[in-house]
Amino acid sequence: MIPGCTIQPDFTLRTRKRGLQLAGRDYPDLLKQLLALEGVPKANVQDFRRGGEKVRQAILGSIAALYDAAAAPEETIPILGCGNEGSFTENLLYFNDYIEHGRDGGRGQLFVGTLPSTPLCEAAIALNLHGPAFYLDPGADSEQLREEVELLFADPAVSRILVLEYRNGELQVFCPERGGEDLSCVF
Amino acid sequence: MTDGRCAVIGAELVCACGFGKEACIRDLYAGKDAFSPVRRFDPGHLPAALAATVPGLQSEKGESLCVPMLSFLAPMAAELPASTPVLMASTVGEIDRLSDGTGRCTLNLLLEDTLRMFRKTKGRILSAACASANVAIDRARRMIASGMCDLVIVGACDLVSEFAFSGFASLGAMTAERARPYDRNRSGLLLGEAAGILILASERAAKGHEVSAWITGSAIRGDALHITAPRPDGAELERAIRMALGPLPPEEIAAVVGHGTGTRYNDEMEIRAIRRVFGDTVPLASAKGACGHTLGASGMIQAILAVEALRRKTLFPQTGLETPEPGAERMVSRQPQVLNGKAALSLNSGFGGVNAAVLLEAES
Repeated sequence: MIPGCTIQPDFTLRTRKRGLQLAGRDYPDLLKQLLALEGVPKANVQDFRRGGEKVRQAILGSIAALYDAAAAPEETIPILGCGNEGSFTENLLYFNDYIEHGRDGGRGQLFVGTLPSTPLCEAAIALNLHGPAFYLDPGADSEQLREEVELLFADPAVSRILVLEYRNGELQVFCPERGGEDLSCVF
Repeated sequence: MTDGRCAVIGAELVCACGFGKEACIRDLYAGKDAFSPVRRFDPGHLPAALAATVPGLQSEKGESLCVPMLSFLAPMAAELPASTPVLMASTVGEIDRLSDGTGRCTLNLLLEDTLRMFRKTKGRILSAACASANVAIDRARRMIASGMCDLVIVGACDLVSEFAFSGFASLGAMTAERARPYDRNRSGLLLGEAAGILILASERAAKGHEVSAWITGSAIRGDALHITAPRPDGAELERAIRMALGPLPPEEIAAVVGHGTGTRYNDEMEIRAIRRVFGDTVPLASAKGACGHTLGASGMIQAILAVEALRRKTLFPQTGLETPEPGAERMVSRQPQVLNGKAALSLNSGFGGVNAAVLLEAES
């Protein structure tokens, strides 16, 4: 089984391989519980800084997926985002807020969250990962996701990848490793 | 596996200079900028009043302004087999359809329109903030190098919108004056819009086509430091540059087409990284003084300009430049710079600390 985890919007977390289940009052509480576990990768997170829900899920999910894989956060790990949702919710949130406030000026904190690459980069910052981080939307053709993972593994410096898939408020994170099971079992 | 390089066998562009890459090249080499007062929405309440919008750009009701730009690019793309993959770079896609009631992700809408107009069956959106185009070029090069395919269409598209305009204003990133990349007195960026394509081919597939340049290297590195500010010392951009160069000695690089937004932090970081790799005499210019910051499409304009610089053996002048940033005095110029060498580098750096470098070499 590919290591990874699922984060639900009700602040629950379940890892794929180890079967760990956590439930928190909110995301900071969930993070606190996760970081208290032995063997969890060190992360530079102070109450999620400025991040919205997707950022919080990305940080939590990336830490939990590496924990599930019993892997250290090697600096070359790439982060690939997917899921067809992009940042539509965050874009509406920013723009509606801007309009509701009389178009006098947007809120920078909300604008930063409008890029689909933002959650991935926040996770990279938290775990000090310097590999490629980008969002990929292949429409309905999930074969292209598998192609991209294959391409990322073509770099000999890459031994693991974090794949973050957002769908209907839930985040699934997969942490395939070089030579391990491919993503055809999940996508 | 191939040797990792791919050929540029086609390129086309729409930007504020006009429809067709020749318009952009003509204006950039003439030192002209394409900024005009924003009329698409009322920017009166925001700190900037100028943007580089495509002249005469209009769409049908219910359509995005991306569509007429894609329509101009479509004939070149449509010549290729329907199975040719499209890698489309964008930050937010058809953002002018955000509130149109479809409830659809605007990147997904862009992908759909692109595939329909280009008559292709396979494609993906790549989004990595303002480094999206260089990231897409990097992925396309690797697809060809791995033998996954022989042809790839790399596209890029982003619009000037009230969404982006107000957003960058909210971050204090925009200037009320002209954009002045690499200038000592620069005070921020101005937005632009563009759409473009590159047709990339393996050596085998390039046979019989006119090859305008080769993409021989590329790399992506993350700062992993801050979500909006670049790493001040430019260490990860430097690393991306060195990875893209591979075994090619830095002295072989004739020119750098930089990201050069005109913001204090970006340009300072970029100059530091470039100086550490190339010293302080490599010719450097940014298109953003003329075409504005076209976000996910900026790397597309840069690649096309890098190809042209290698063809002419001359780098375009730096539009908007008055007094070079200290340390860049021998790198940037208001005059076209004659080039020695057959390789050029294009750089992107985006929010989240994404750095992407693309190496282009002239056809020998």
